[in-house]
Parts: sequence; C-alpha cells; structure tokens
Amino acid sequence: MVENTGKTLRADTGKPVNTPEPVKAEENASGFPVAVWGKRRQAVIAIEDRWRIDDEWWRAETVSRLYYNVLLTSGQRLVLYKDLVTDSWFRQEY
Amino acid sequence: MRILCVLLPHFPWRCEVRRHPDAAGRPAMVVQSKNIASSQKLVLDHSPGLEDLLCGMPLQQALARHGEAELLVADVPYYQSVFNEILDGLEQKSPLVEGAELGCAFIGVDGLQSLYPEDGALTKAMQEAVEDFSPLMGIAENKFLAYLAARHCPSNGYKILSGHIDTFLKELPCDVLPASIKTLDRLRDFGLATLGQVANLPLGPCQSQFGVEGKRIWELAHGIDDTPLYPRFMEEIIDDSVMLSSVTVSLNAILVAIESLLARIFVRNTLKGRGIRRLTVWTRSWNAERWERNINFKEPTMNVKNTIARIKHVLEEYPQPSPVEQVGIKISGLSYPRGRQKSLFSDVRAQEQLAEDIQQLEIRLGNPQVYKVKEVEPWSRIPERRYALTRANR
Repeated sequence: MVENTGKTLRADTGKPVNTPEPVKAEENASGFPVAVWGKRRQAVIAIEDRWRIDDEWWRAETVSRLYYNVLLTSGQRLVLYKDLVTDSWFRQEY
Repeated sequence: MRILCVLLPHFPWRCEVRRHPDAAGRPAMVVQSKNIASSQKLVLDHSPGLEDLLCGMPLQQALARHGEAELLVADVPYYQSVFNEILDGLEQKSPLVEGAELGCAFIGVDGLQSLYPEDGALTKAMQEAVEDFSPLMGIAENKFLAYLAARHCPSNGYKILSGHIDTFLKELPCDVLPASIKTLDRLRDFGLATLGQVANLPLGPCQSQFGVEGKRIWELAHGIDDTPLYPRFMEEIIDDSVMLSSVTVSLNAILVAIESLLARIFVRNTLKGRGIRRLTVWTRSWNAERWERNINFKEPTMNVKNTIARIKHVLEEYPQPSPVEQVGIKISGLSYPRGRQKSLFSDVRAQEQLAEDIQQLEIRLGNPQVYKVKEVEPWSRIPERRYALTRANR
C-alpha cells in the first residue's frame, strides 16, 4: 500500500479497485442465496454473516446492498451482495 | 559590420520549377492551406509576370485575376531543405550566414577582403552558390539597408549602399518597413507614405503614437538597424531514406523500412560512438504529400531497439494520412551519452531503477503497465470507493 501523499486524485488518473463482478445466484423464497454459479453450480452450505449498506441516497443512483458472507460446498468462502435497486447479484470482497 | 543580403525572388515557385521543369514557361501559383484545420487555400507564391497577386491572397481572389494560372501545391519542408542546401553553399564562402526567412539570407562579409578584394568578386562567388535562383544582392552596413539594397538592385546584379543614404531612403514607400499591418495602415491614415516623411517626425511623437514599433520604424527610416546577425549553428545531420517496393499503409512495412535505415546508420559507424538525441521521421505518400514528426530523446539512444520503440509509438499515435511510397529519417542532435552519478543509498538507487524500468515498459508497450494502489476513501462503506489504481510513475 502506498502512503497517501495528500495529492488530489483526478478522476482520469485512477482506475477502480475491487469493482463488483456480476454473478448468477439462486435464492429461496426468503431472498437468501442457496446456490452460486461459477464454472459450475455450487450450493451454499451456510450464511456466516449478513449486513446491509444504504448510501448515497441523495444521488440518482443510490447504493442499497444486502451483503452475505457464505460458505460453499467446496469449502470456499465468498462475499456476495444483492443490489436492492436492480435486483442483481454481485460478488465482491468486503 | 558589412552585411550582404541575398534575396531569392519567387523562391517557392523556383523550387517547384526545379522539381518540375515543364512548369517553367507557364503562369503558375503555389498554394497552401491557411492552417491545418481550414480548407481555405491561400497563395504562397507565383511565377514572375503575375505581379498583381499578393502572398496570402485567397485562392478564389487570385483565380479571378488569373484564371489560366496552373496551381501547384506547396511543399514547405522541401523548400526548407532546398534553402538549407543554399545556405550550406553560402557557408562555403563565409562562415557567418543567417537564413532569415525562406528566400532571404544575410551574410557577414567583414574579414573576407583577402579572399575577395572587391565587392564584385564577392557577389560573383555568392552567385555561384545560388545560380539557379536569380539572386538579388545588396551590401550595406546593417541588415535593413542590405535588404533594401537587394530589393532595388538590377536583375542578377548587386547594389552597395554606403555613405549618405538619406537620398535613397527618402522616396521609398513605408511598405518596406518590417512592421505589423496595423502599424502600416495607421501610417497610411496619418498620410505618411514614404520613409522620408517618417524620418522627418521627431522620435517622441512617433514612439507615443506607435509604441515600441514606433521607435523601431523611426530608426529604420533613418537607416539605423542594430539587429545583430544570427549565424547558423553548424550541426551534423544524417539524412537517409528508402523507396518502398510498393505503396503501403501497413505500419509494419514502414517500421521494417525505418529499422533497416537505422541499422545501416548504426552499422556504418557514422555516429562514431555518439547517440541520437533528436530524430525526424518523414514519409512521402503516393500523391507527393509529406508527413513528418520530430522525436526527442531524453537520453541519447545508442541502439536500434530503443529508437524503433519510440518511433513505433509515434507512428501509432499519428497515423499516415495516405498510402506511403517513401520513408526517411533525419538524425540530428548527436551527442555522447552522459554519465550520471547514482545515489549513494541502495534503496534510492533501486527506486530510481524501478521508475526507469517502468517508464521503458510504458514506452515499449504504449500503455501504462504498472499501477500502484492508493487510498481514496478508506472509510467508505462502499468497497470499490476505498482504493484506486494509479500509474506507478505519477
């Protein structure tokens, strides 16, 4: 990690990091994820944590997400979120 | 210092005639675009006999006066190269040569008396360097008077101005003054048509009316010109070119041709251990259109590989306007590589080396390759807002 030099970061000089990746997920009637599709379908064994963020309500595109920290059958841990505005699922490290 | 002015009237037209001798006997105009963004054409020069045409006149206006004249597209880089050859020839006669503008050169002639005891011999020697261009020559004590003498000398002859020059200057029109169009218009508005009328004015009112230019035109009207001669800086230039076997738009074909030219130059040891600081890449298309770009190197480049990487980047950034027939390079700014004292501290040296390697990578591949992660809003609840990637060298 580079120390913050305090210089103004212009919009054209930076590329985003950790942008969300769209992912295909199956959810049950309550809205919880039960399976995630990567190269193959993997079922969700456990939801270890869940939290919600609502931000930038003043903008035209608000940020409203429901995050899940899930454990898959392969033993892999994944952080997913459902975008409550578009009803789409994304994968992103938190 | 005595100065000789060599004027080459209708220089662009004569360059075109040199290239296309069949255009010699026909009325013609040399035209160029007003600027890169504009499609308006202006007259740059014309053949003798079309004296009512003015340099800078719009083409339509010129054609209204002389519709029969042939149109020639201006090739200013070619005229510049011909003029440079002429200046090289003049430098064989005197070491102090200034190429003031296309078709006008000033030469310092002090100290040449032992070689050319008389002015006639001196002008004859200068004429040998420019015999194809019907030069007009004038000799005087300063550049302005030498220029006026050249303008008023007989064809293929010379004129010397010395002693009392007031009589000569008195009747000359104010248009000969090197002043802005606005100043010349104002002189006309004030009824000042000749240099004699301007010279009769006191300096103070002239300066207050015309500003800084006022002092200059007052001095010139009196024949006073303190402008020094700026001789050419002698620089070794290596110029080479190759005709492509077929007209092409392929970047690879052009790069191969340039690489072969560079290899030839480096192998022949023409550079004598020196590196290239400045390079001009030029191409000529099938319709004789010329494209060129200058490339400057921060450090003298000593091999083909580093040079071609930069050239490739430039050719990709600035594509060719039309299919290419001939490719050339002109190398100047030759110098030996500089020694650079590196930092005493190893971690600083490592940082400098890393920065240089990253820069070379960017130049070679064209896009930024190495980024570093910077904190933007590390407290943000939205993960993608927390950090950003920025170019490593910024």
